[in-house]
Amino acid sequence: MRTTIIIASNLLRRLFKRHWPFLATIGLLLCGFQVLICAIVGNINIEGALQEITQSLPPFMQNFISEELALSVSGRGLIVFAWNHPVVHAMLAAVMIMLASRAIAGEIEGGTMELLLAQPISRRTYLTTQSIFAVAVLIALIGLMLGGIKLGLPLFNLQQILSWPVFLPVAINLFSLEMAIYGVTLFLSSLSREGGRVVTIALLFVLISFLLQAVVRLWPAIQFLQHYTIFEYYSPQRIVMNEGTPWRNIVLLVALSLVGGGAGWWRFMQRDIP
Amino acid sequence: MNTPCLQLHNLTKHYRDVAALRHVSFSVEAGEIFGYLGPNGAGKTTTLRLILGLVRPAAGEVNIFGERIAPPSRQSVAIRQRLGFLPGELSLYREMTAQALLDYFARFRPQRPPIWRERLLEAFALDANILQRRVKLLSHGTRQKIGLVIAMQHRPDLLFLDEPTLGLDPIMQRVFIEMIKELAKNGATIFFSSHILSEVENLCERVAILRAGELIALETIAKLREKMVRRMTLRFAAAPPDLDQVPGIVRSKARDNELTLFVQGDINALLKQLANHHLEHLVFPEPELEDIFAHYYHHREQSAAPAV
Repeated sequence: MRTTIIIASNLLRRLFKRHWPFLATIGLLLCGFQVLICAIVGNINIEGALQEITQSLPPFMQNFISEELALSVSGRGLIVFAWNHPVVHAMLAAVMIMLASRAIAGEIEGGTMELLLAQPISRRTYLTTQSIFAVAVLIALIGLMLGGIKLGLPLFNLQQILSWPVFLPVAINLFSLEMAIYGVTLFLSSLSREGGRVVTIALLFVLISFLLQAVVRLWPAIQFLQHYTIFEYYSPQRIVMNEGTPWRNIVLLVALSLVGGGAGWWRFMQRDIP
Repeated sequence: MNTPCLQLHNLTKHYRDVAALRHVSFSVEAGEIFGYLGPNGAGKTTTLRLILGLVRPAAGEVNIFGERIAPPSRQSVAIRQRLGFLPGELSLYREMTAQALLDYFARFRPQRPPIWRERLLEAFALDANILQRRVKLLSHGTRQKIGLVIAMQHRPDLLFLDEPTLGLDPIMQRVFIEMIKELAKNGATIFFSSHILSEVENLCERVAILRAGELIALETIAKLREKMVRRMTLRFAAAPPDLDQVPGIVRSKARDNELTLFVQGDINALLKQLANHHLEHLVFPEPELEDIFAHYYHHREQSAAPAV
């Protein structure tokens, strides 16, 4: 057991050294983005500005964004929307896809997996370490987003409209969403020898999911498809409005993460290297 | 009776419909330097990957130090503590420094500190200046030396080397052979895979010869030398003599003044005969692996042919 811990910490140390500049940049951007949104809400008359913009849109567009705007056309809504912003999703998904694709396919593509697994490392230890690192990274990044909110709200006198603990269930939901992306990507990674191909397919999966959610809202005839996008199971606006933890959505996303990760795990344990 | 250090039993591997390895069985004794010969694509690398648990066998098993390592067992990881490995196509983390890389791989064996590292660094002329450089800035030969240090720094009990001299200059090849001999003198077993016969001949006591995934020979080097059919090309001042009856000549081929002889075993009788003739030119190169394969195939076909 002690040997396994030493080996795992060796792998973790290398993962950290390899990724920390990129992860630190993403973390600071996510934190800064939350502070920036607080600064905007604290200094601009958002409600007036957004209402003017909405009224200038064609009626069908107004219908489409009405649900979002019901909440968003307020300082409170905009702060919450910052947790569902495409930029936030892009950054977090990029991190999770990068970690999962490099864990197996990237390491094989680089030619280093053969030398690594010839060392006294079990595949189980290897993949557990990779997954622990991904979970720790995600907790840290979402923690930095929470940190940004916790810093931004008092800094711009916004405590009266929102308190930061409201974001805890949002953070849990976001965590489960990103872990689902990690699980699916890990499965793709376990099937491939090329990290680039895994990244492309995983990005397509995320992008199509994201676009599908938007299209479903625009086009009620295909509303039945809304259940087939992972973003349907993450809605910070609804969480804040209802002020409850969406356990059903969280369980669904965690289940997807476990199924994807588990399938990836099983495939990796069976597959030939390279 | 001692348990063999390495034991392969009926090892078989298919890649889709292609048989990469077919029912390979042999064992290697502790302290032995064992050569694993075969042309490219014969299945040498596949064998090493099977032994190390990187690929799964379709059938058969591998035991190391009396414990099963492939198909993977509970002991596989513990056994690998005592192994060293240099892959044929070595890839290292390009962004790490050579020093960080050596430390990284050393930390995977907490019970076996890199006691041999300094000795190896000195022998391979890898100084502090080189060790501080990133791997991507090192030459192919230097990377190969780093790979050798990674494989041997913990002084493994069983060392697997896949084409280890690739990229090493002749001086470093000699250093490498010295280090291998020293390691073996300290009790280690060496499994040396190569397609270069002379390399294996200089170093190994016993060899296995593989072709198209099949083990075609398992011999001591002395026996292999006896069986080797070597090609001698001679050019005479006049028409070449008939030397077919000279002991050791397997067959011959004449063309104008040139004679190609296929020689096996002792060549003294032939040299005595040649002294009676005026020779213009003589070439007697190292035997090619293909010649040895031809020999073994010739024997196999003969023994397989039905009696008339």
